Amino acid sequence: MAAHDMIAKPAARTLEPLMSVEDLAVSFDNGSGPRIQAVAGVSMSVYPRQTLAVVGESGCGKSVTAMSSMQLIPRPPGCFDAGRIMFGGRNLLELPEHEMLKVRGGQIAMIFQEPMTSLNPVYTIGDQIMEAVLLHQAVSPDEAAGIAIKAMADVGIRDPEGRMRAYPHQFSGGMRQRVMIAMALACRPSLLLADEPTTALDVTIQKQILELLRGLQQSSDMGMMLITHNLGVVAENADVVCCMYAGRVVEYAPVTELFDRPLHPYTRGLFRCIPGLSELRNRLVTVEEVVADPREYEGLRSEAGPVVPWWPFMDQSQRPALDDPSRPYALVEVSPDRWVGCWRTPEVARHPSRPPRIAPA
Amino acid sequence: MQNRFGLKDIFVVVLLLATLASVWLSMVQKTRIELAVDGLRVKLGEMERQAALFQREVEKGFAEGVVVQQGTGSAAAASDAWARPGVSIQRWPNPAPATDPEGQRGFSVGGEFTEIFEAQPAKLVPYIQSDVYGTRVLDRVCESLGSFDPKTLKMVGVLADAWQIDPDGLWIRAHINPRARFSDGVPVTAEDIRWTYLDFIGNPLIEAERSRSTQDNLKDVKVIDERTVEFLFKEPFFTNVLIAFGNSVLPKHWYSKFEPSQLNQATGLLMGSGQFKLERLPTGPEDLGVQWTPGTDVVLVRNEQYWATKPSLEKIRYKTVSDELARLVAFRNGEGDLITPSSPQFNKVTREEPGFEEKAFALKWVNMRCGYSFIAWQCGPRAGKDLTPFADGRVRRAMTHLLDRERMITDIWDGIGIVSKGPMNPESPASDPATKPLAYDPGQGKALLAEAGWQDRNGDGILEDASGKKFTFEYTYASGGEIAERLARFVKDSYAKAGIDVVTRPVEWSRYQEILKLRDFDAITLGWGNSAPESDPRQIYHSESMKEGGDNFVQWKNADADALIEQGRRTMDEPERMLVWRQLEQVIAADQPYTFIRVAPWLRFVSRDYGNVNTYRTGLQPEEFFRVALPAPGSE
Amino acid sequence: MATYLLRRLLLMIPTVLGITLMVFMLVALAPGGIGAGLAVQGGQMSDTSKVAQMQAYLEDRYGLNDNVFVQYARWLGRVSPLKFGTTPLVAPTGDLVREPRDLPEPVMAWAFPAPAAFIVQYTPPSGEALVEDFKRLQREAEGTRRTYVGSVRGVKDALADHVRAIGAPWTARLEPKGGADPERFRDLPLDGDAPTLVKLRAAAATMHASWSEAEAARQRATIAFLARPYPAAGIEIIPNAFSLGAPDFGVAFSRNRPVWDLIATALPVTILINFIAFPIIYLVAVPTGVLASVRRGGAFDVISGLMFLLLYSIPVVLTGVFAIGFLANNQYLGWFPVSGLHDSAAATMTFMPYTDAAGAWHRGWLIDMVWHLALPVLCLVYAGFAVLSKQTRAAMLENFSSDYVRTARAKGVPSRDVIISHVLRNSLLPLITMFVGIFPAMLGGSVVVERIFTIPGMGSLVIEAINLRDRELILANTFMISSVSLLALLLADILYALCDPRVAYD
Repeated sequence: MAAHDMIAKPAARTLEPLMSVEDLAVSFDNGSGPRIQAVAGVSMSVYPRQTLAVVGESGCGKSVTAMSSMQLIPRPPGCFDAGRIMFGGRNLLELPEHEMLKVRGGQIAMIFQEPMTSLNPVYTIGDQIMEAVLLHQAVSPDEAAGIAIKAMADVGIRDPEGRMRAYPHQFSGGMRQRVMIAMALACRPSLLLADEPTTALDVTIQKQILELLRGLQQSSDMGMMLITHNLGVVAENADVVCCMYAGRVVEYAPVTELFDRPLHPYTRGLFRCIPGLSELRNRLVTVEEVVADPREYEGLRSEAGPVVPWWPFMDQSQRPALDDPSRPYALVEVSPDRWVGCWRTPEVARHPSRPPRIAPA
Repeated sequence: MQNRFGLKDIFVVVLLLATLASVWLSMVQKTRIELAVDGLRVKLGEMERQAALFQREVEKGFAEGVVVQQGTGSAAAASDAWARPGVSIQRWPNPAPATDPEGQRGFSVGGEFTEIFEAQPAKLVPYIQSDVYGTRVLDRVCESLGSFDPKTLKMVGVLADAWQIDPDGLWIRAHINPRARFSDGVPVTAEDIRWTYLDFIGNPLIEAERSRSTQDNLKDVKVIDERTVEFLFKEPFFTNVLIAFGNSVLPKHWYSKFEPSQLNQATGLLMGSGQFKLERLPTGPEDLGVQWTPGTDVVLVRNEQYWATKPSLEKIRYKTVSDELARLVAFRNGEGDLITPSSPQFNKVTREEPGFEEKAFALKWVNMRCGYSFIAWQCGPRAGKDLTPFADGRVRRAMTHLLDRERMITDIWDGIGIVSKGPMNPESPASDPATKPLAYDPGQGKALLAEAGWQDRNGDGILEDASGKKFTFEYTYASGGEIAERLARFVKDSYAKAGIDVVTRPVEWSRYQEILKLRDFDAITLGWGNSAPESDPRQIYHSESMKEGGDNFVQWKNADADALIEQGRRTMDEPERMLVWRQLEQVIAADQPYTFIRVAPWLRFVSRDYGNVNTYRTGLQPEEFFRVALPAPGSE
Repeated sequence: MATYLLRRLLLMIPTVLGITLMVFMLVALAPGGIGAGLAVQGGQMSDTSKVAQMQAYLEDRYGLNDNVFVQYARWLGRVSPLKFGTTPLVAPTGDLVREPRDLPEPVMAWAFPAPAAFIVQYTPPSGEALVEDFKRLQREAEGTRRTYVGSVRGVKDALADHVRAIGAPWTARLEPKGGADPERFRDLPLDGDAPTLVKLRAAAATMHASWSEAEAARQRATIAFLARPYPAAGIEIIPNAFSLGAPDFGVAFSRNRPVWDLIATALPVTILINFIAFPIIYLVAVPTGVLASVRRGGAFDVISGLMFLLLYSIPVVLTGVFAIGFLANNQYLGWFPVSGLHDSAAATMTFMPYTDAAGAWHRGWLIDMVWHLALPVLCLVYAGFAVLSKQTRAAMLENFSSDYVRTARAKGVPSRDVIISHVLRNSLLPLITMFVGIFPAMLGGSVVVERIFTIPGMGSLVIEAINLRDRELILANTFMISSVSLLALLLADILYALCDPRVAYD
C-alpha cells in the first residue's frame, strides 16, 4: 500500500493541524562549554491521520524538536529561546508542569529508539502499561488491566492475559517495541511521536512494526510524527516529509513531490547518493559534492522572485544580500505545498510565506 | 506502581496489629505487677532495716556480756583441751573493725556503697576464680582462719580464736571461735575446714589447679574435735602459716550440694562466713539460674547473721566501667563511690580542681599490695647462646647508678610513686627502712664500667670493651602503652649520655611470655605484684628457678642469695626471718640482677558521702565504711 | 530456587569448616600458640618444679599437647551432630560425661622399661550404687592421672638436670626453654652413679608407680562408665560406635564456662544494638542519598555530602570520648548515662514508665534501656551514613539517565513518582549488596564501642578469646561469625532474586 493512496482517501476533516511548531529555537548551555543552538528556528505541522516524517542526519535537531513538544528537555542546560508549539489551542512550551503531565501520554505519546532499554526491568509489562492507563483514565485497576490486555492484543502480542505478568527481559526486541507502542497507544493519544522506532530492529520486524503503526493510525485518526534517517521508510510510510539540517528545515513537501523533484541541494544530494541497483558506477556521489556545487543553487524561483537555497557552509561570495544579517534564514513556499529553506533576502522578507501546513486531501 | 491491596494483605495487617497490641498489653500488665512487687519490696526493706537496728543493739549487749565473762575466765580460756601440750597458744579476740566507725560524726546504719571495677570479674567462685576483681568480692564474703592486721601487718586470728604453731614448722593446730557462723546461721566447724582443703581444693575434678599447687606442701588436714583442726606439712617452710591461715573456709553443707561440673561452670556460687553475702544466691542445684553472671553488677548485702561486729553498710555494689574516662565521669556523676584513677587522672583532678577534695577523698598511699617495676638484666646466656654485657655484676650496678630514678618518677609518672630499692615491699618488715636505693651517680657508674673493661677507646662516644666490641644492647618492652614508650626513651637517652647504645625493641604483650620463657632478651621491663607482706623469693631469685617453669628468667645465680633464701624459707620465727630477708635485700641490692625502678602507690577516689575511709597498710577496708547521715533539716 | 537453596546450604558446610580450620591454624601459629592464656605464672607461692608439673597437667587436660590438626579434629567431632566412637553419657546436672581418656605412654621406655600392661578385675554394682561408685572412680582416675602426668614431667625435668650436669655437647640438645625432650636423648648413656642419674632413676620409678595406679583407676572408671551409670546422650544408632547428638561447643578454658553460655549472653546484646543501628543507618542514609541525587549540586547535596564525610572521618574512639565527656558528664550536659545497658536499679524497675503518687516520673525498664542504648548506637551509626548515602546517590544518578526513565516521563508520570517508583526501585539493588557486608561486622560487634561503653557483647568476647588464645572460644566464635556471614550472603542473593526479576537461579 503506497503512501499516496492514503492521502487520496476522502475525509472531510478540519483544516487545523493537530500540532504546529512555529519558529522553534532551542539551545543548550551548561555553563562550562559554549552555548549550542540545537534548533535554530523550525516550523512544521501534523494533521490528524497524517504521518509527518522528519528526516535528517544525526545532530540536526529532530529529536530535540519532538522532545520539546513534551517539555522533556531538561531545563537547565536546555532553553526554549523562541517560537511556540501549538497543540489544542495552547502553546505547549508555556504549559505548567501539572498540565503537561496530562498532555504527556494522554494526548501526545512518544516511543523511542531503544526498545531493549526503554522498559523498566523490575516491573511487569502489565504494570507498566497499566501505569500509563491509570494516569490518564479514571478507571479501576481491573478495568485498566482490561484496557492493557486489549492494547497488547491490538499490537499483535499473542496471549496478552498471560503476558501481563511477564517481565521485559522475557521479550525480544521486536516484541518490546510492540509493548512500547501498546503502552503509548493505550490512552488513545491524538498524536504519536515516534523517534526512530525501528532503527534498532531488523528489517522484517521493521516492516511489521511500521505496518502496525499505520494500521493503528488509521483506526484512531491519530497523527504521527515519524523521525527517521531511513529514506526507504519515509517512502513507504510518510505523507509529508520535513527535511532538516543543522537545526533548520531545508525542505518541506508531500512525499511524492519530494521524491519526484527535490528542490534543495541538500535533499538532492541525499537522493543522488543512493545507489541504484541497475546502475554501474565506479564511484558514489557524496552529499558534499552536491552542496558544494554553486550551480545547484541556481534556478530556484518563488512567487516573489528568485531565491537562493540556504546553506550554512556556502561561500560568502555566493550568498545573496540579506535583509537583516541577524536573521539569515527563512522558510519560503516556492510553490503550493512546497517549502524550501532559503536565504532571507529583502525580497523574501517582503513576502513572508505561510507556515508549512499540508493538509490531507 | 500499583498496590494490589487484597484480602490477604488486610489479614496480615490485622494480625500484625493484633500482635503488637497484645505485646503492648502484656507490657502494661507486667508494669502493674511490678509496681505491686515494688511496694512489697519497700515494706520488706523497711522491716529489714528495723530488724538490723534491733539486732545491733542486742549484739552490743551480748558482746559486753561476753567480755565481762571473759574477764572472769571464760569458757574458751578454761578448756584448752584441744591444744597440744608443751607448745604456746596464741589467742585472738573477736574480729572487730580496725577503726571503730560508731563514735564518728555522721555515723548511720545503712547505705549502698558502689565500687567501680575496670573489668568484669569472670567468676565469683572461690579457688576456681582467678582474677583480682573476683578476689576483692571474695574477701568480703569469705573468711579464713587468720588474716593480716591492717595496721600492724601481723597475722591475727579471724575465724580462729587461738592457735599453736610448731616451732619446727611441721604442724599447725587452730581452734575455731565458737561464735563463728556461716551466713545461713550454720556454725563453722573443723570439718568445714578439712573439707575445704581436701575435698574442694584437693578434688581433682574441681578446676582449682592453681590453688591446689600452692598447697603442695600440705600433707594432711585432721579434725581433732568439732572446733579444732590440725594441718600437717611435709617440709618446714614459713609459707605453711599462709597455707593454713590464708585460705577462705567454705561451708561444706552448702557447697557439697553441687557436683564438681556445676562448680566448675558456675559463675556466682559464693558463700562464706564474712560480713557480707551475695544478694542472689541459689539454695541448691535446682535454682542455679538465680546466681550472678558476668555482665550484671555484683551486689553484696550485709550478713545479718554475722557472728562478730556487723558492718554498718547495708549493701556493697560492684559495677564495671571499662573505659578510663567513663569511670571518672561515672564517679563524678555519683554513679560510683570508689574508683581507681590512673596516675594522670589523679594528678590532673587533684591539681586543677580545688573543689574536688571537698566532695571526695583523693587517696595515695603505699600498702602491702603495692608491687614494683624494674628493668631485668640478663645475667646468663641469652636464649642459651651468647652472654650479654650484664653477666658482670659491676656492669649491672653501673646501669642502676646511671639511671636517675627520681627524675623518672617525676617525668614519666608525674611524681606519683617512690623509688624501689628491692623486691621487698617498703611497708613490710622484710624491708629495712635504713637501706636506701642506689644513688644516681653517673661518675660512679662510669667508674664501674671502666673497671669492668668498658671504655671509650676510639673517641666515638660509645664504650667498647677490650676486643673492640661496642656496648650496645636491646631493651625490650611491651608495646602499646604511653608510659612504656616514655620509659624506653628515657632509658635510651640516659644510657646514651654514658656512651651506651640502646636499641629499643617493642614487643606485643602476648609474645612477652614467650620471650621471658625463652630468656631471649638483653634487658626487659616488667613488674611484680604483691598480695601479702612477705613472699617466698625462691621462685624469682633462687638459682633453681632458672629452670623451665621458674621465674628467674634473668638466670641470676648467687650463692649467698641461694643460701639466704633457703634459710629464710625454713625460719619459722617471724622476727628472725625478717632479719634474713633484710640480708637478702642487701645481697640483691649489691648484685642488682634487676634495676628496681618504682613502687606504685595505690590511688583511689572515694566519695565523701562515706566515712571511716582509712588507708591501711593492707589497703582499704570497705566493710568499715559508713554512710554519712544527711543532717536533719533545720539542724546545723 | 529450592534446589539452589539446598545447594548453597550444603556448600556452606565445607566453607565454614575451611574458615574455622584456617583461623585455628593461624591462631596456633601465632606466638604463644593456643592456650597462651593458660600459661601459669609461678608468682611467689609455688615451687618451680611444681609449676612445671601444673603446666603439664593443664596442657594434658585441655589437650594442648596434641598436634594442631588433632585438636581441630577433636573440636570438629564435638561440634558435629554425627558422633562416632563411644557414646557420651548425660549426667543429671546436664553435663556430658565422656569415657576416661587413655593415658600418655611413659617416657624413656628404652632406658626404663614400662611395667607390663594389665587388666583390672572389677565388677561394677548396679543402680544408685553404680552412680556413687562411678563418681568416686572418676575422682580417683582424675587424681591419679594428674599425679602421673606430673611424674612424667618430673622425669623430663630430672633428665634436663642430668644433661645440664653433664654439660656439652649434650646441652645443645636441650629445648630453648631449658627442658629436655626425651626423644632427643635416646643415645645418652645412663650408667653410673652420679647423683643426677640417681634422681633420674628415682623419678622414672615414681613415674612407673603412678602409671600403674593411674592405669588401674582408669580401667575401673572405664568399666563403670561402660556400665552406663547415666543415660546415653543423643540418639544411639549403633551402640558405642555411631550416634546423633547435639553439637557441643565445649568449655572456654580461659573463663571456665561453657562456650555456649558465653555466646548466649553476649550475642543478644550485640544483636540488639546492631539491629537498632542498622535500620537507623539505612533510614537516614538512603533518603539523604535520594534527595541529594535529585538536587544534584545543590545546597543539600553539597552540605549533606560534606557532613557525612566529616562524620566518617571522626574515629569512633574520639566520638566515644566526646560523648562520654560531654553528653554523659553531669558537669556539662549529662543527658545520657555513662556506661552499661541498664541502670543499677534496673532489676527493680517496672517495665513501662509511670508516675507515682508523689508525682515523680519513673523511667521504667524499657525507656531506661533505650536511654542507655542511645550513645552506643550513636557511635555505631554515625560513620555508616557516608558510604551508604553516596552509594545511593551514585546509583540514583546513574539511573536518572536511563531510557526507561525517559519512557516513564513520556507517559506522563509525575516527577516524584518517577524518582520513587522507577529510579529508586532500580537503585536499591546495589544497596542489598552493601547490606551483606554489614552483617559480619555486626556479629564481630563493634569492639571499640563495646569497650568504651562497657557493653558485654560479642566484640569483647572475641577479642579476649584471641588475646588469650582460648581455643574453644575462638573456634566457636569463628564458626558462628562465618555461618552467619554465609547466611547473610545467601540472604542477599535471595533478596536479589526477589527484587530483580532478571535474576533467576536454577
